[in-house]
Amino acid sequence: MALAQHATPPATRGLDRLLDVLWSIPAPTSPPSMARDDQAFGLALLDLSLRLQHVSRMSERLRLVDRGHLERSVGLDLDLTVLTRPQIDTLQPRLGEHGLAAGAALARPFVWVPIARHRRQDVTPVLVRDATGGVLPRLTHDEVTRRVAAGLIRLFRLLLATNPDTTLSGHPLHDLRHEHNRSRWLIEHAMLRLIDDGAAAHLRDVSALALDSTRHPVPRASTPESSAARARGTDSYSIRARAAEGLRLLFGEAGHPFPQLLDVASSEYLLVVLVPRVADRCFLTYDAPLLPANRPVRSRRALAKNLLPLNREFTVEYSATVPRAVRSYHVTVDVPEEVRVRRFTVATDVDAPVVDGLRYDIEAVIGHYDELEKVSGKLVELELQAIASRLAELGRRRQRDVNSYRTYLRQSLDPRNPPPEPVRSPLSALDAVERLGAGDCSPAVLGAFAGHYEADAYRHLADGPFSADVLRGIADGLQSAEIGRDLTVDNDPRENGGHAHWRPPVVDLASGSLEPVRATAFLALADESPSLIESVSRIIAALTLLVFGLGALIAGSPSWLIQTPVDFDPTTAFARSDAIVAVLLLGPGLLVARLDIPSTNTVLGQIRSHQRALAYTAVGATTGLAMAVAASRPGPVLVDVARISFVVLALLLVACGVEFLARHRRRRAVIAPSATLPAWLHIEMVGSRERTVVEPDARFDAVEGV
Amino acid sequence: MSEPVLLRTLSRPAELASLAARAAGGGTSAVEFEVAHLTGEAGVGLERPRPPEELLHFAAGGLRVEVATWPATSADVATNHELSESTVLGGKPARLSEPARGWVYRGSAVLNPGFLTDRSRSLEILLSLGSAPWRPALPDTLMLTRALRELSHAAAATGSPILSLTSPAAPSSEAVGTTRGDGSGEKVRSPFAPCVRMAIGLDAARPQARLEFETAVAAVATDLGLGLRLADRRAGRIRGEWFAITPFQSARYRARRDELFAWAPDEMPTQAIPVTALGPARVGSTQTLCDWLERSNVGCLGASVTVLQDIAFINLLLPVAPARTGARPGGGTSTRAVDGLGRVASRCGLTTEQGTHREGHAQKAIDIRPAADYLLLAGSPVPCSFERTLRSGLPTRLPLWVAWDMPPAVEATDVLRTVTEALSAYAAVDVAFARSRRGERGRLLGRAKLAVAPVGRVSADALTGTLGAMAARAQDTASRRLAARLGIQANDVRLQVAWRERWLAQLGMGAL
Repeated sequence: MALAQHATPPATRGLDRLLDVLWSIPAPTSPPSMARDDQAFGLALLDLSLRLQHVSRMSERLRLVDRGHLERSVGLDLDLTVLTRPQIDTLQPRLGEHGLAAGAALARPFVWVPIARHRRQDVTPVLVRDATGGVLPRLTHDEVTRRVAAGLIRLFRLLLATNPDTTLSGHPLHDLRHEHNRSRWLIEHAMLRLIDDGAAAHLRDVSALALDSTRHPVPRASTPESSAARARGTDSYSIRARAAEGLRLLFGEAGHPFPQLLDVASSEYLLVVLVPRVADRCFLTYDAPLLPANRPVRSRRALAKNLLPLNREFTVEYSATVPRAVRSYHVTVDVPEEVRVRRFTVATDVDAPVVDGLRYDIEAVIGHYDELEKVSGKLVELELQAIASRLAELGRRRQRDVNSYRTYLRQSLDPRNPPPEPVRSPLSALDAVERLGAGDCSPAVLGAFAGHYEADAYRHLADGPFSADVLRGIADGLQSAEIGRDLTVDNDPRENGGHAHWRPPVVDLASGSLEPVRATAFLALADESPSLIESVSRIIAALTLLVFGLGALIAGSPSWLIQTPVDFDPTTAFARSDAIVAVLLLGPGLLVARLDIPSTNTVLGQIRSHQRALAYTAVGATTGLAMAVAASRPGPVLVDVARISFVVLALLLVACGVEFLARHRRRRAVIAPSATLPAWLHIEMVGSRERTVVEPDARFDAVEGV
Repeated sequence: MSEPVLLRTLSRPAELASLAARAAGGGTSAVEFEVAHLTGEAGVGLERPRPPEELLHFAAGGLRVEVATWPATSADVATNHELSESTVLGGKPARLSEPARGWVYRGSAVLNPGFLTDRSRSLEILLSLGSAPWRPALPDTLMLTRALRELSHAAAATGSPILSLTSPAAPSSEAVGTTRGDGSGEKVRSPFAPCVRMAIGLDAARPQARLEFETAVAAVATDLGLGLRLADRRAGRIRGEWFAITPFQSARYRARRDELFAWAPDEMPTQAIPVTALGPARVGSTQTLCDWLERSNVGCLGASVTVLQDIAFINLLLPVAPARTGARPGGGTSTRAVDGLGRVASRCGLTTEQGTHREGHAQKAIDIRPAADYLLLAGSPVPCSFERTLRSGLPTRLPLWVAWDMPPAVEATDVLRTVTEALSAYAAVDVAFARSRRGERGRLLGRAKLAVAPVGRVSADALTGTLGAMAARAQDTASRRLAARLGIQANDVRLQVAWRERWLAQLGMGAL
C-alpha cells in the first residue's frame, strides 16, 4: 500500500537542523541563562498552541482584493474555562508587564494565550481586537521565542534526567548528564540558536566554507595545546562529538516527538495575546497577513481555452488548518457585487485519521491473519468487526455529504432545469462486500454496507466475506476514493457571497487524534445575468444591424451581402463618406463606452476578459470599415470591406451564442473539475473514476504548522 | 508502512508538550506523593491537609492501599532533586494508629516525559482465573504471579505502556435467562474474583503491536486455561463491554497449576505484605518486578498498577510464606527497589523454605534497568481475609460502579463518602477500587467500584432488582447531598451509580 511520502519527516528535519547548529556554533563554557518561569511559560505556550483546545469556534472572512491577493479576517471564540489552574498560573503576565492595574478585583485578571500559529515567513504586524474593538497586547516575537526555547531546554534536561541509561555508569548519556557539562550546554545553546534563528542553512554553509573542520578532530601532532586538549577531551571536536552522540541516543528513534516539537518551535511563530478573564468566554478578531496567490503554471491548452467562448470562470482554492478541538468553523467569502458565486464548497480531511487507522488495521490484520486464526478465531472476528463498524459509520457520513450536495445543486440551479435524479441501485449484503473488495468504496456502496451491517447481515465476518483480498481492496478503495474527506456546501443566500459552516462529527472515530484538520475551500466566480456578455451580444447585434443597414442603404438593396446590384454607382453611394465614417465611429464608440469593462487585474476583469475581447473586436470591425471608407477611393472594393466587417460581426455574434450555451452548460455541471472536491463525490455524481482536474486561477495557502 | 504518516502527525509532539507543560507548571518537574498501606476499619480515604490532584484506592484480601499525589509546589523539592541523582526521594515511614492501622510513606518523584500515553487510545483486557470470589491457595497465588508476568512481558515486548492493572477484579459473567444485549441478563458477580483487568496504551499507527499483544495474551490464556476477554472495539461500544476470546477452562487451569506449582503448600495464606514500587513511569518496570516475583517464587494476592501524574505506582499484596508467618513483623521500610526486593523475597518467597528451589528461575538474569531508580515501600505483615460464597452460590458482596464528573471544588473523598453514606441504609459498603484525577477545566473525574452486602435476606431472583433500586436511590440521594453540602449547583453534579459497569456510559474517565 502506498502511503503519502514526505520529503523530510519533521522528526528527522528537526534533529538534522539541530545537529547542523551544534557543529557550527562556539562550544560554550557556561550554561545558557534562562529564568525558571520562562521555561514553564514556554512549555505551556507550546502545549496550548499545538492543541488550541481553548478555541471553540473559528470564523474566517475572506475577501479577494484582486486576482492575486486575499484578505483574511479571523474571528475566534475562546473558552477560557478549558485552561487549567496551573496553566493560568503559569501564563500570568509579569509584574509591570503591559501595565496591569494593581489590586484588580479578580485574582489572575489576565492570562496570555496563544491563538494561532503562523509560518515565520508570513510574520507581519497583526492587530488583535476584542469584542469592543479594543486592541489586545501581544507578546513580541522575541519574547515568544525566548520562552519557548527555555521551555524546550527544560524538556531536554528532563528527558535526559529520566532516561534509564543515565543510571549506568560509563554510558554516554550518564556522562552527558553528570560529567560532560560543556557538551550538554552546547546542545542547549544550539537549541536556543535554532529556535531564535529559525533556520540552520546559513550555519551549515559557514561550516562547509571552513571545510567542515569542526567535524574532524585536529591531528594529534598539530600543536601541543591541541594534543593536550584532545587527550583531556576538552577540544572542540570531542565536545561536539559527545553532544551529537547524546542527541542521537536520546532522539534518534524514528518518530521521536522532541525533534518534531523543535521543528515546530523553529519554523513557526506563535501569536500570543493577553486576554482578560472577566468572562469565561471571549471573542477576538484579527486580520491575518495578506495572502499572496500561488498561481499554478498554466498549460497552453488552458491558455487557448481562455480565448475560446467557454464562459470563463475564475476559480479559487483556499486552504487553512483548523484545530481539531474547534467545534464550529465558518468560512465566509465576500466578492464584488458584480461577481456571482457560482459554486462554493469546503472539504476537510477530518476523517483522514480514521481512514489511516482503518488502513493500518487492515494491513496489520492481513499480515497476522493466520497467526490470529491459529491462536483464536475470535481474535480475527473482533478485529474484523471493529473494521466493519468503522467502515459502516464512514458510509453513513459520506452518504450524508452526498445528500447535502445534491440538495445544494437543486437549490443553486434553475428550478425549471433541476439536476438529474440519482439512479439508485440497491445492493445485496454480498454484493456490497464484493464491490468493496473490488476497490469500489463509493458512498453508495459504503451506504449499502452500513445498512446491511446494522441489519446484522455480517454477524460472522471471519471465514466469511472479509477475506484478505477483500480487505486489501477496501484499503485501496478507501484511499483512492478519499473517504477520509468530508464536504460542506454553501448556505449563503447572497449571490455575491458564500458561507460554509463546518462541524466535526459527534462520534469521534479518530480515537483522540490531535492532528489539525485541513480545510480546503473551492470557489467558482462567474459573471451571471445581467452579465457583460448579454450587453456585448446586444451591442454586437446592433453593430451588425448597423453595418447591414448602412450597406443596404448605400447599395440600395438588402441583398448587397450576396450580390452587388447592377446599377450600383460607387461615386454616388459614397458621396457622403464623412457622414458614413461618423456613424461607424460614433455608434460603436458610444455603445462600448456604456459597457462596464473593468481593469484586467481585478477578478471581474479576469472573468470578463473574453467578453471584453468580443466587444473590442466588434469595435475594431466597424472602425476598420470606417477607416476603409475614409481612406479609399469610392469603388466596389468598399462593398467587399463592408461584407468582411459584417461577417466578422456575425461571427462575433455566433461566439456570443456559444458563450451563452457554455454558460448554461457550466451552470448545470454536477461537479466542478477541482482537486479540492473529494474523489468520492466525483464517483457518485459522474459515475466514473476518471476525473479531469483543472488547475485553479488562484490558490491561497494559509496552512499553518509543519 | 506506518512511518510517513506517523511522522506527519502532531499528536505525539502535542502529548509531549502537554506532559512537559504539566511537569513544569508548578515550577518543578516533581510530584509529591503519599502512599498508605492500611488495615483495620475500611474507610473511604485518609484525611489530608490539602486535596490530592490524583487518587487511587485499592483493596483486596482485607488490605488497603491508598495513593495520593500533588504537583510539587515547594522549591525545596526541586532543589533536592537537582542535587540528588535519584528520581525518587522518600522520607521515613510513619505509623498510623486507629481507626486505620498501617504505614504511611511520603516523598517526591520526578516524572518521565518519555512515557507518552493517550488515555483515549487504549486496549483493555480481562483475564480470568475463575469467577468465584478469590480464596486462593498458595499455588493459585503463584499462578496469578505467572499471569501477571506473562501480561507484563507481552506489553513490554510490544513496547506498550501499562496504563492500569487491577487484580482481583469483577469478572464478566455469561448471560443467563434472557439475553437482551444490554447486560441486564448477566449473572451477578463478585467484586473480588481472580481476574486481572489491564489497560495498555496504544499507538494508532502501530496496530501490529496491538495484534502481537493480543496474540501473546491469547496464547497465554489458552496455555494456562484462563478466560480472556478484550474490550469491544466496535464503534459505539464503551468501557465495560467485552468481547469473549477464550473461556475459562477449570480442568486445564488446575492441571497447569499442579504441573507448575505442585511443590507449593496447598494452603491459604494467612498473612500478606503490601508492597509499593514507584518511580517515573516507564515501559518495562512492571515486567521487571513481575520477573523478580516469579524468580523468587513469590505469589500474589492482589495487584494494582496505575500511573498518577505520570508517576508509576505498582502496588502488590504478597502472601507471606507459611514458614515465615511467626517471624517478628518489623516496621514499614522505604528503600531502593534493588535493595528492598531481596528483603521482601526472604519473607514471601516459597522457594528456600520449601526445598523446591528451581534452578532455572534462580539463575535467570533480570534486566533491572526499567525499575533501577524506583523506590520500594514495604509494609509489615498483616493478617489477610478473603471473600466467601453463599450456599446459594452467590457471592457475599456484590459490585456497584460509580462514576463522577464534578466541579473543581469537590474532592474524591467527598464523593465516595456521600455515596457510601447514601448506600448504608440498604447495604454494608466498602470501597474496592477508586481512581480519580483532575480533567479539563480542573473538574474532578473518577470511577469507583464498591463492594456491597445487602442488608437482610434477598432471594437470588430479586437480587438484580434490589441492586438496581439501591443504585438509583443512592445516586439521587448522593447527588442532592453533595450539592447541598458543598454549595454547588445541582445540575453541575454529574454522578452515576449503576450495578452494570457499561451503564455508566461515557461519564468519567476513558481509562483508569
